[in-house]
Amino acid sequence: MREEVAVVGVGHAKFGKRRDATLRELAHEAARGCFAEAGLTPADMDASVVGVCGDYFTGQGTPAPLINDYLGMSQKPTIRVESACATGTAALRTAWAQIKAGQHDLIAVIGVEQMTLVSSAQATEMMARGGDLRWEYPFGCTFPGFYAHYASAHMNEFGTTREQLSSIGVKNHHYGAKNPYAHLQKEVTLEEAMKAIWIAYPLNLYDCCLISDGAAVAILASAEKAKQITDTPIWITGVGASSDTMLLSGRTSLVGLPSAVRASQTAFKMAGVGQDDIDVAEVHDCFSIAEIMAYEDIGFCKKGEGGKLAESGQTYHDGKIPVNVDGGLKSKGHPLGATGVSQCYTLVKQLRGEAPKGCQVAGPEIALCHNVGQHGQYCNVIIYQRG
Amino acid sequence: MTDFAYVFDKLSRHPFLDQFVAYLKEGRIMATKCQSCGKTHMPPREHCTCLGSEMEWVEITPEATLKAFTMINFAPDPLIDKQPYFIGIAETPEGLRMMGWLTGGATQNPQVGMKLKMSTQELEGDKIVYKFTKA
Repeated sequence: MREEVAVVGVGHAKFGKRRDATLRELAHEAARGCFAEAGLTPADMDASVVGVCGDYFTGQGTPAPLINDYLGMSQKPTIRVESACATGTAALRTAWAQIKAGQHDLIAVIGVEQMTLVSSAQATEMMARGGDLRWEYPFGCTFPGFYAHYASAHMNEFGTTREQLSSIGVKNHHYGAKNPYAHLQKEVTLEEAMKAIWIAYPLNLYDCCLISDGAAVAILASAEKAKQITDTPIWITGVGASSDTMLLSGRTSLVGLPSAVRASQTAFKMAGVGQDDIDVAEVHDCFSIAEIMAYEDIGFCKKGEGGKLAESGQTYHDGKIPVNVDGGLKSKGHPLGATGVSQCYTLVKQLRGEAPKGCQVAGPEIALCHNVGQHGQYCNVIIYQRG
Repeated sequence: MTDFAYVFDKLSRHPFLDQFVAYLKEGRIMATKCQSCGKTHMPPREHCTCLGSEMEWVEITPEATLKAFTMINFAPDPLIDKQPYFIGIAETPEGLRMMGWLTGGATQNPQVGMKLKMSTQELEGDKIVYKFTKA
């Protein structure tokens, strides 16, 4: 196993509509738990990496020095990274590369976003600006709208059904109900999920992730430091990243994300493992169809069979390949910059055997995180392994 | 000066797009073809991915097949009074794809694979756009 960079601490803030906190307090809430469980302090850090997607949600520019200072690291190197909804894993990838390059030994990675200070219609407009302003934004194609295009093509080509799409929301709400940090901690029935109002046909309310506030923090360490700090380092053994065309109309596929295929293959190759070795996964279920396409793009099933895998029950915690057994973006919430670090939190807890009751997979050793930016313009895949 | 579509951003406004819009006003939907590598781009680009910058305007066949679509029922702020509306990705016989609004008969039970024709439509506020209708 590649033992170069490890996660030695994780922390998570409560996701939700947080009127009691802003960016800095959200980051502090996640950081407190992270430093406490790692037995470290901000003074121990060599640097920080801050993932925040959109200044436009809060009006706050230059968020990295703000967060870095608020966490007591004002004189240490910091950097802000942005990769749309894949911002969190971009922050992890940046810290991983800095440690691998030998520049730093200990880095705090902070993913944070506050999205609910603006109305849902305003947030929808701001996120639509993540599409090409000249050629796709003017048609009012929202973020759900982009994924709805994929859903229409996937349903047409493979016969993917409404029931299969809704089964994703049912599963993810099942686990979100058990996750104390989740935004919407409630179960939904298949019937409720199927009769919800259309957001962007053929996607309805229960196919779409929440707009949330939240933060998550992870501490990454070099091998030498990791072994000094903890007996249970979680190694980052594979990192893959890719990108794709800005325009949805420019894509080679409308039934999958080629960037996710490429990023997965790169990560598998680096880690020296394959799809069948993965014991638990976090995939980017911003929309139900996104989770179904992720199953196929990563290779948990063949292209076109993601819908069948979704309704088979094999992606529950006691199934063949457990996916999003923390509620996923759907139920846990999707504060853009926090999501990739939140996925890291869940997988580290899973690999240590510390996940909530009813969510813990039996003895997982290898975990995969798939984090997509916009509708495939970015994709990061990270493989984590128990030491 | 006429602008492209209802919701248009000043960041995109420049002479190249003005030329595209001028063609739309003549009822012509134009792509650009790179004089270095021969690649045709739709939507049009002023420069090529091969880094060529000598481009020629070429008219596309105004026929297409619907490859994917959606009905937006929860619109972004500026388009709330237009919802619900239909958007699709259409592919021309040349294999060029573009996003646009589905209108008229194309909004009655749209299906992937549906045959479309493309045309231009003038909009309120001195705007113009290309649109897809049922063939």
